[in-house]
Amino acid sequence: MKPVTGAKSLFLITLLILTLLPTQALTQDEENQTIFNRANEAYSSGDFLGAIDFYQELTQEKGYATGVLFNLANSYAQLGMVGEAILHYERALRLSPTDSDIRGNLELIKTKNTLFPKEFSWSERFLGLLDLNQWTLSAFFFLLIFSILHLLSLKISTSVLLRRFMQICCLLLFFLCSACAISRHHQWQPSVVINSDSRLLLSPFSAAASTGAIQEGRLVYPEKVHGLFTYITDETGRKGWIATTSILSVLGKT
Amino acid sequence: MKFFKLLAFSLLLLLFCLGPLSVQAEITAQARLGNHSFPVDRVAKLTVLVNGAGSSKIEIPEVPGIRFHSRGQSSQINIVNGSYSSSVSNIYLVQASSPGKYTIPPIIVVADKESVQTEPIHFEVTGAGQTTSQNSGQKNGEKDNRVAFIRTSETGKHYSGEIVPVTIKAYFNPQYRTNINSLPVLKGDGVVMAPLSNEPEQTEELFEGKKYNALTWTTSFSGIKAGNHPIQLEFDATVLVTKRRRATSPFAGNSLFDDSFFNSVFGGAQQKPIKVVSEDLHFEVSDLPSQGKPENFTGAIGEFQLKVKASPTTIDVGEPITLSIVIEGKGNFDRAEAPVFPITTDWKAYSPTSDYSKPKNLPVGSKLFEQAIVAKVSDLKEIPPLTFSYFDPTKNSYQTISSAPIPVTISGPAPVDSQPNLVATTSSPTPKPIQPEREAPPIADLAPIHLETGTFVKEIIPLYKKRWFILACCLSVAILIFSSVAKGRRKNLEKHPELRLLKKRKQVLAEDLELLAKAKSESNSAHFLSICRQTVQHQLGLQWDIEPTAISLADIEKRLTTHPQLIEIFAAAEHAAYGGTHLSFETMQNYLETVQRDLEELL
Repeated sequence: MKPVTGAKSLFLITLLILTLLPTQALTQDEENQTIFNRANEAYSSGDFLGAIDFYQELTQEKGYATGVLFNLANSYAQLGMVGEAILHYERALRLSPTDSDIRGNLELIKTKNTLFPKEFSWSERFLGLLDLNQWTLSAFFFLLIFSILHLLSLKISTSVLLRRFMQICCLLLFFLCSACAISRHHQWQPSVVINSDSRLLLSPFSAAASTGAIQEGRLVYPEKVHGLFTYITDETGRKGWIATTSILSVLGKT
Repeated sequence: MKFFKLLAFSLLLLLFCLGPLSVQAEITAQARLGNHSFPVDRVAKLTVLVNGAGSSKIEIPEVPGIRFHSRGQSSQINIVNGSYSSSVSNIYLVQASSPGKYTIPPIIVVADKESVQTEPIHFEVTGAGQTTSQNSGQKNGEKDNRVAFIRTSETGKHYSGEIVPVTIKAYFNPQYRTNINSLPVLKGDGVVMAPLSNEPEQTEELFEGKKYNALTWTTSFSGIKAGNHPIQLEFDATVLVTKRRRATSPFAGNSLFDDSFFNSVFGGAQQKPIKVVSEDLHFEVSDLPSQGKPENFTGAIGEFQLKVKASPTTIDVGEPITLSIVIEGKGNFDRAEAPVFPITTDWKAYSPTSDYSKPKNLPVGSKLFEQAIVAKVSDLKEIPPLTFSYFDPTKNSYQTISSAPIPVTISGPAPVDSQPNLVATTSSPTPKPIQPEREAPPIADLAPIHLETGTFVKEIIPLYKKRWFILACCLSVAILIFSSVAKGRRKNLEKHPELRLLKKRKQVLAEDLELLAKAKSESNSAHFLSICRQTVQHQLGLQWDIEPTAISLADIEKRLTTHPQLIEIFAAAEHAAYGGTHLSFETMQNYLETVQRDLEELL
C-alpha cells in the first residue's frame, strides 16, 4: 500500500471539513429548533417560567433572534414582569423594527401598565417615523443614488437641469436622513427599569433623598455612572440617580 | 386757564365720588416697629398703617414702662388702573423707661364704625449705650459696610433623610446697587437642599441696627449620610461701583468738584462681580436607630396621620373596591409609601397610584394613594386595618399608626376567574398585581408566540457599525470619487483641445504601428509599405488638419524638412504602390523603427 503524501492528506482533511461543516451547522440548527419548540410547548401549556428558561438558554448560547426575544418577552408579560417584557420587546424591535406583532404587544403592555410617554413635539414625531437603522439605510440609499447619477452622467447625456435637480434632491435627502440618524442615535440604546420598587434619588447614595418612584418598564437614558448608581433621564424627561442594578441596557447581554 | 380750572374741579369731583368706595373697601390695620431691639436712651418708630379708610381713630394701649409720642399722620390715595385705594399712616415714637422685654398689645383701630386690630409686637430695650443687635459684640465698621451677606435659620442635629425646614435670607446693603445673578447654592457634601423659588419674598429688614433689603427663601435641607457636615451657601451678584475721579485741584486743598457727588455724576460706574458666601454652617446627621424599627417602615420621617376610606362598600364578589388612603402631616413624603394591604386568600390587592399635594407656604402636605382591592369570597364583613410606620424626630422613636377596619357588605358567588372588570370603575388604579404575588392572569390579547427563531446574531449593533454596511458606504464613496476624477479629466480635455488631439494621435499611431509590426512579421513588403504610407498620412493629416489621403510626397517634401528618412520611406512606399518592390526583413525592421521614432518625435 502506497503511503499518503502531504498534499493528498491536506486535500483529504479539507474535503472532510467541508463535508462535515454543513452537517455540523445543520445539527446545531436542529438543536436550536428543538429547544425553541420545547420552550413554545411550555408557553402554550402555561408554564411561562419553564418557557423563559428555554428561551434564555437559546439567547445565552446562540445570541439574539427576533422570534426567541419576542417569545421571551411574551413569557415575561404573562408573568406580569413588565420591565423584563419591555426590555425583550425592545431588543426584538432592534432586530425587526417593522414587525407589527412586536410593536402591538409592546404598546399593549405599556398601555396596560400606564407607561405613557410624554407628549411628542412635531419634530420628535417626525424623527420617530423611522428608527436609527432605517434612517441610516435611507441616508446610504440617497448617497448611493447620488453616486450612481454622478457616474452615469459620464456616459449618458441627459438634461443638465434634470440631472442637477436629481443630484441636489439626493444630496439634501442624504443630509436630512443623516441628521435624523444622528438624532435618533441616543434613543436607540436606552435601558429599561426592571425593578418594581425603583426610586430616583437626588444623589448617588442609598440614603439620599428621593425625587419619586420610577415605574418598572420605563425607558431611561443613562448619562453617567458613580459607584453603584447611574444618572439617568427617563422618557418623560425626569432626571435622577438610580441603582445600576435596577436597569438593563437594551443593547447589552442578558 | 379756564380749562385747567375745569380740570381741577373735575378731579376733585371724581375724588368725592370715589370717596364712598373706600368705605366699602376692606379695612386692614398693620403696626410696624422700626427697631425690635434698641437702647433705653433711644426711641423706636412705630407706624400704624390703616388701609381702606380715609380717616380712623387709633386707640394706643397702655404699656407699663413705655410711652408713645404721636408724630402725626400722613395719608395716601392711589388710583391704579381705575382701582382706588387709600391708606393712613400714624407715626409714634416709642420710648422705654427701663431696659427689658416688652410687648405692645394689639392696637385697636376704629374706622367707619368698623373695628380692626393689629398683631402684637414684641421688642427688647437694652441698657443705655449698648448696641442693639443679638451679635452686638461683632458690630464694627467692616460689617456695616458689607455689600451683602447670607444668614440661615438654625440647622441643628437631624436624622438621615429628615426634611429640615430652613429659611435663607440674603441681605443687601441699600447703599450699593446690587444685582443678584444666581440663586443661593449649597456647597458641601452629605446634605442636599430642595430647589429654591425664583421669586423670593422681598422685604426691608433691620439687622444689627442697620436697614437692609432682604430676600427670603423658605426651603429644606436633608442629610443623606451620617456625620457632621460643614456646609456653606453662596450666590453670585454684581455690584455697581462708582469710579473715583482724579482730583481736579492742583492744590492740596479740596476743590469744589472733588466732592463725592461728582464721582457719581461724572466718574461713571462699572459692574463688579462678587460672590456672597455665608459663614460656615454645620449640619449634623445621624442614622435612624435600628432598634424598634417596624417591618413596614419605608423611611418616612416626620409627623403623619393616616386616613382610609373605601368606596363602594356594598358590592358583589369580584367587583373592585377603591381604597383612598391619605397620609398627611409634615415630613419626607417621598419616602411615605402606601400601607401594604394584608396578603390573604380573601382579598386580591392591586398596586396603588399616588398623588402628592402640598399647599403653598404651608409646611404640611398630604399624599393620596388609591388602591383597588377585590373580594374573593362573599362572607367578608370588613376591610382589614392598614398600618403605616414612620420615625418621629421630636419623640426620637418609631411610630406605627393604624386605620380602623371598614365594614363592607359583599354578596354573590365567587367568580370562576378572579380577574375583575376594572374598566368599569374609572377611579380604580392600574390593574397590576402587587409585588409579593407576582403572578398575573394570562394576557389573552397578546399577539401569539412566533414559531420560527429567526436569524441569531451575537450582539445587537446599529447598522452603521456592521461591516457590510461600512463596505457598501466605502464603495459608494469610491464610485463618487472615481466619477468625479473622470469628470474632471474630461473637463480638462474639453478645455485643452490640443491634449485631446495628442491623445487621438497617440492612439492612432499605436494602432498603425501594430499593423506595421503584423505586416512585417508576415514579410509582405507591399502591404508593409502601404501601411507605412498610411501611418505617415494619418499622423501628418491629424497634425496639419487635412484629409490624410490628400497628403502627397510633394506636400511632405515641402513641409517636413526635418525628417529626411521619413520622406525617403514615404517615397519608397509611393513607388511600391505603383511599381512593386521587395524588402528584406532587416529593411522592414529598419523602416519600422524609423517610422516609429520620427512620428513619435512629431507628436
